[in-house]
Amino acid sequence: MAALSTRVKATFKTRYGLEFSMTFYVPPGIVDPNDSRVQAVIAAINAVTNAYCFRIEITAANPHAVTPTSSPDYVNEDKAEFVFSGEGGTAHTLKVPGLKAAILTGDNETINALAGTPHAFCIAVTTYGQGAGGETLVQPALGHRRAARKTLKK
Amino acid sequence: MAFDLNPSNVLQLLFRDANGKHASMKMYIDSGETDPSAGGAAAISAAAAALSDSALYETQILIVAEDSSAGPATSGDYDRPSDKALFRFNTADGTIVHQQIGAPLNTVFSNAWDVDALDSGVAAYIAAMITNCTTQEGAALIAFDGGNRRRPPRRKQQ
Repeated sequence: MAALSTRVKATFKTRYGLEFSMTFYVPPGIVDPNDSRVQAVIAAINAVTNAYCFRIEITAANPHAVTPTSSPDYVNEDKAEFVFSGEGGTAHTLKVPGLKAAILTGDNETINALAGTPHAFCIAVTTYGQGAGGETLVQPALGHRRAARKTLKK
Repeated sequence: MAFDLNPSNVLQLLFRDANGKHASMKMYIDSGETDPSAGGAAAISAAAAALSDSALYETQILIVAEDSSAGPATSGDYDRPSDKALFRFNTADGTIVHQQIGAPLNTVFSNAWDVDALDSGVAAYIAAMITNCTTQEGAALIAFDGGNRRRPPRRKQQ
């Protein structure tokens, strides 16, 4: 599928502390907040408002033409949870929704993160992922199934 | 005005299950990863999709930058900071794009309520939008359709 237009969200702050944001779209492939086209729009907005832009968030999106598995064993409320370790022992938890039953071990609760597709996922995360400040992630030995459902009212 | 990139970008994967419910997974990736269809984003997307019966229908990379020398906001005549100037643009695919600018200068309006397209700042903003922006689907903005002031209602006293 063709890439979607790039979404740009600019956040402004007024003199008395109120904030507002504006969202506009630019052609796909623009990913630099300092791009001349993005800055041209920001500068034009700054000229007609008593606020100033202090943050720009750019979202580059790639759609996939896929369909979910019909009658799956688990839906999005059930997630495969992996807790990666960062520097200083900080925990970085990732949850993949709608986990496949095939990745669970015999107890239907734990996931062997050292083999098969779970291991491939952990390798991808430790290779390309990081903490917010750039810290390296270390993969766990096990993952777990986590069910997120609303409790019944009594 | 220069914006400084955050040290990490955010990778967001969007899933939809057979019941139509949506879920997402977020994590941080290197700031050099900017293409959601290639590199680390593609690798993590493929690996996550292999674990799930839900459909991974979109991969997003969020790039955040902040201006370390921004501000302060200028003072000037404007009625209320919560006021907005609403702009409407016509597009090549027939849709209407709306943009709202907060704390608008009084010079934006010709009679305190209607946007004055002849104002130099307004004209520059209109030109910047038409030249540089598109709709979400990629259609071009072709003309300014008009605009007006929007004022949120005051909270009623109980």
